[in-house]
Amino acid sequence: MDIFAQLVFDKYAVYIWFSYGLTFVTIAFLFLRAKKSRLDTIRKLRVKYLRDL
Amino acid sequence: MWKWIQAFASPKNFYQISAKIIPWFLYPFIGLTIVGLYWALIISPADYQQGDSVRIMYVHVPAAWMSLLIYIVMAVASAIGLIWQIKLADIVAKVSAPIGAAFTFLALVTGAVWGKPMWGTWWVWDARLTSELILLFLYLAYISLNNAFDNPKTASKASAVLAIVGLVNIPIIYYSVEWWNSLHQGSSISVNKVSMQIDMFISLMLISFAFKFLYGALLLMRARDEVLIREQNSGWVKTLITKGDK
Repeated sequence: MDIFAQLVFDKYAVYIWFSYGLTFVTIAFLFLRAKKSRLDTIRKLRVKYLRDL
Repeated sequence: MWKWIQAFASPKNFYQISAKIIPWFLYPFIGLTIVGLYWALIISPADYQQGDSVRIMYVHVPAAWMSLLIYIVMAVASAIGLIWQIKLADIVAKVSAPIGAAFTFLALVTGAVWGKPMWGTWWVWDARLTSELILLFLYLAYISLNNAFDNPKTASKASAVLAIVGLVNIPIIYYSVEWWNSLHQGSSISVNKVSMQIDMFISLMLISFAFKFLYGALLLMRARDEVLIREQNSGWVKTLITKGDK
């Protein structure tokens, strides 16, 4: 309970949580982009090889 | 050592070895992030002048360090690709650019968010802030130039020149607070001296190392795709894809 009370940060809460939230979103975006790129690449190459058969 | 580097630099070997290395970056990233967040938000004390707003430093400073580090990696890899024609170096430079741009964006935005309660303004055309903004434009210019050519070799050459020329901005960013009068505070950490409380320093280091592992993991993940695209006419890629590689 004390831990959660400590996370309030009074008048700076909005600035702090926005910064950490944005960091989380940016990292999540980078991972999702990497995952999407992986799926797109595999799909594109699979289609290309099937067409070449 | 050189033989090992040459073997690793072969696209096929890189593709196979990197799959095994990625978890070695991902797990430390997750672990360091959890411990780092606990240290930054719970253990680390509020600053005697800035209060709790100092906690923004634990994401702002590591992001700013990463923006510089990734640009240096990108420029060095570009130079290696340009001089020794090593395909993997071009790939490292290309896939580093969006990651570096994301960290630069993060450093700029969290800096603005920290600046508002401390300086009373989101932005000033200060040497440190302006040179960091120029770094973001350099990353975006590199990405645009690299995508402007159909031939990957031409794209790598053109963007490599831009990356190498843009390297001049790195010492400008680093020394800007010493060379010009700046609203931005000077460095609190140097080789000989750390002028901050120990828990603040630990928080900063934990998140800073977490970001480095994150970069390693993302770099390898994106580089593997780029290897597949560039080597798509090789037999090993065809076998890999048709056999159902995920």
